[in-house]
Amino acid sequence: MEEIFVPALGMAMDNAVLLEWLKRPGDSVSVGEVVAVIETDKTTLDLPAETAGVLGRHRYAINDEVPAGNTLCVVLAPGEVEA
Amino acid sequence: MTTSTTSTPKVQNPSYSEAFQSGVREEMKRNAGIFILGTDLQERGGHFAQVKGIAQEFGFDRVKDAPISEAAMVAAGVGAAMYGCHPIVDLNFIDFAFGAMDEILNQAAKIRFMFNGKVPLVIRATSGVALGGAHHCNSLEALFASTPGLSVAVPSTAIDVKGLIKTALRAEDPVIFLMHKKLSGVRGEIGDENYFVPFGKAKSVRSGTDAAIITYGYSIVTAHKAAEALAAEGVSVEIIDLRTLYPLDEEAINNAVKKYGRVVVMDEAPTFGSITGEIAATATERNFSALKGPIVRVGGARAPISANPAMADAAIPTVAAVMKAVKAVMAY
Amino acid sequence: MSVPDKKTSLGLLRQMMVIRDFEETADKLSLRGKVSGGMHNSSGQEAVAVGVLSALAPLDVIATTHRSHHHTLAKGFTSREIMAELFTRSTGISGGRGASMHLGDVTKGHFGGNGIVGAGVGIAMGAALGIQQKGDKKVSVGFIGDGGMNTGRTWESINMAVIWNLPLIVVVDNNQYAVETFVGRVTGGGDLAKRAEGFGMKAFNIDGMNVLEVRKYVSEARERALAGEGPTFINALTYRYYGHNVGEKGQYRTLEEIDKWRSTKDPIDHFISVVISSGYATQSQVDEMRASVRAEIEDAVAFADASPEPDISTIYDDIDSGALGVQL
Repeated sequence: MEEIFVPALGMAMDNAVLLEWLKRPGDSVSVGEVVAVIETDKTTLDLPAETAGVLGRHRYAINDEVPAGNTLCVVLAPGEVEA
Repeated sequence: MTTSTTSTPKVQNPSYSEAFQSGVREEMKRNAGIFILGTDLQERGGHFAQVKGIAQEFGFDRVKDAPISEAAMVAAGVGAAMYGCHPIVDLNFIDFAFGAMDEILNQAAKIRFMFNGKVPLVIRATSGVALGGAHHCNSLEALFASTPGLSVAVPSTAIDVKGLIKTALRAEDPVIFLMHKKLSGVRGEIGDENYFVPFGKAKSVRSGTDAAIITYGYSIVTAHKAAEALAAEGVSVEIIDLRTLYPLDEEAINNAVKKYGRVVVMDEAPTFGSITGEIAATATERNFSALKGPIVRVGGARAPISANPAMADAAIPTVAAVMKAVKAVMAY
Repeated sequence: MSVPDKKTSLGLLRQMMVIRDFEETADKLSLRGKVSGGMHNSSGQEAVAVGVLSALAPLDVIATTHRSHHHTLAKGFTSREIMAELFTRSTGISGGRGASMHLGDVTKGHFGGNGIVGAGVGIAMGAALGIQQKGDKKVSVGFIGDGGMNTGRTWESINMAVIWNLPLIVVVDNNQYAVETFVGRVTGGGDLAKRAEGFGMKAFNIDGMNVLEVRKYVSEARERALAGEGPTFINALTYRYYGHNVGEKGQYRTLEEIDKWRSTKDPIDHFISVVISSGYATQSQVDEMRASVRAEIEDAVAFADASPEPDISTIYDDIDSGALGVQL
């Protein structure tokens, strides 16, 4: 199970804003496909999947402020179930 | 001991520079880890003769001539201090510290806080406003005093030079030791080898009954002249010599405020962002009710120091300006 | 290059594996916000750290850079106390006050990582002066990156070490990029060893991906220093696999370039082949070693996670000694 999360970058970033979901729960995703787009204090950032699988549930909604380090969603490998 | 008669020449008291030599010599005899590095020390003895003869007495390993590499000179002192020596880095003029600011403010000052080590290091330099122009007359003491980890000595007399350098050479911490250009020739008793001046203890150098002038360095000379003139006009002023700016003797400052309620703070640094502002603000916060009126500051112009003698003098406190300030606090 | 005995060789390999696993683990944790202020990953540069530190005595001094996890691990500090420092916990090597960039313990000969490029070499030079003043039989190593080769004070310190014949070894942990700036693009003359030679220092450009080569050059430099023959400059060419800082996705180098270094020059892969061909271990024994390293790093993370935060009432402690520590 791969967790897609808001990366903690730099010396001051605390939160990012979730701008867009490009994949819905249950969609299949491949390696490198962008799942979500966030906006940090410096830039907008595409968050790609690093493994192939099926997207789990959205844990945040568009325009939510998400603390750095928090998971936005998971990518489930075959046979995996989201907790 | 008997002293002989008329043929003995009058022995002068040691000078400010000789007091430094004396304190350093005594401590070097006691602690083999003390050594001095800087430019033109071995033969010339430094630009102010502050280490004259020490190389000849202790050897060139303990008085090292360095290239004009301020960053490396201070770094050499920092690393050797961390290793367990007690170096004195002689920067000549404090203005030359600009070439070593990272080593002083960012390295020496912060090692103890992070790295389980000590930095017993003295950085000696000549400071203060005199002739020589803008590049040799910076007053940087507030910068150092405001940097956590550094202590700052600003002696105004020969005996304080000796007492403070001896203390600095027994300390565990980095000390910025500032000797004023215009005080190089002042002479006085310097005490024996057991004479030490603690850091953070101001000294009353003239007693008074009406108001206090709190100052340090060459400004002590100006303050004395002003106090003499004021005495002739019937105003009695105490002069407090801070001697070190960090640690700062807040108790002495607070006592002056409580005793007189009328205080003048003075130095040569540009008033904007200076130690005088720190003293005035702290004293006001602590003892506002004891004050009869605002603390008045007398300081330097926020201007580079000119090489023109009259312009240089115009940028720092004059006797007249100090008298005016005392009269201002007396008017409350 | 002669291969050291079995115990030594396996020690070198394991130390490099510890560094790699530590860095890749910490990198992920840093992205999760566990590492205050982020970190600089040294993956790819293991042979420099292990080659240098394995050639030193335990109480020789080092002073290093903003990228210093590998030097600090190779110096003998535990993965626990370094991970705890990254997490800014009280059990960390710097008591939680330093995090990734400021690892150090003066009492153990580690004169600190450094947030300022070039500063470590100056401090190491000063330590070498201290060693000389006290007449001790030790050396001091100043690590610096290629970026530090273009800051003036580095050369002030190199000059001073030469004129005073100090027991200093300057090691350029040359990963070829100063943040995003390729060293060749900003280095007049190009050849770093020649620069140092111009100051009169014995100097070498060496392969920083080969732990035995690094170890050999540093051993020889140490012998010279102890014999009173003065300082040495070693430019160890290496490569960092990750960005300058965690999470960096720069466009300044190609994925092909990174892949080429990883696939053909990796210091750990290279040394595994040396260890196996020397008959010191089988592939399965190497795999077991990797598993034990994994367990060590997992334990380090658990230790760091469970460690207490520093007491914030101590922020004023150890700034200075108070009254200068003087008993008059």
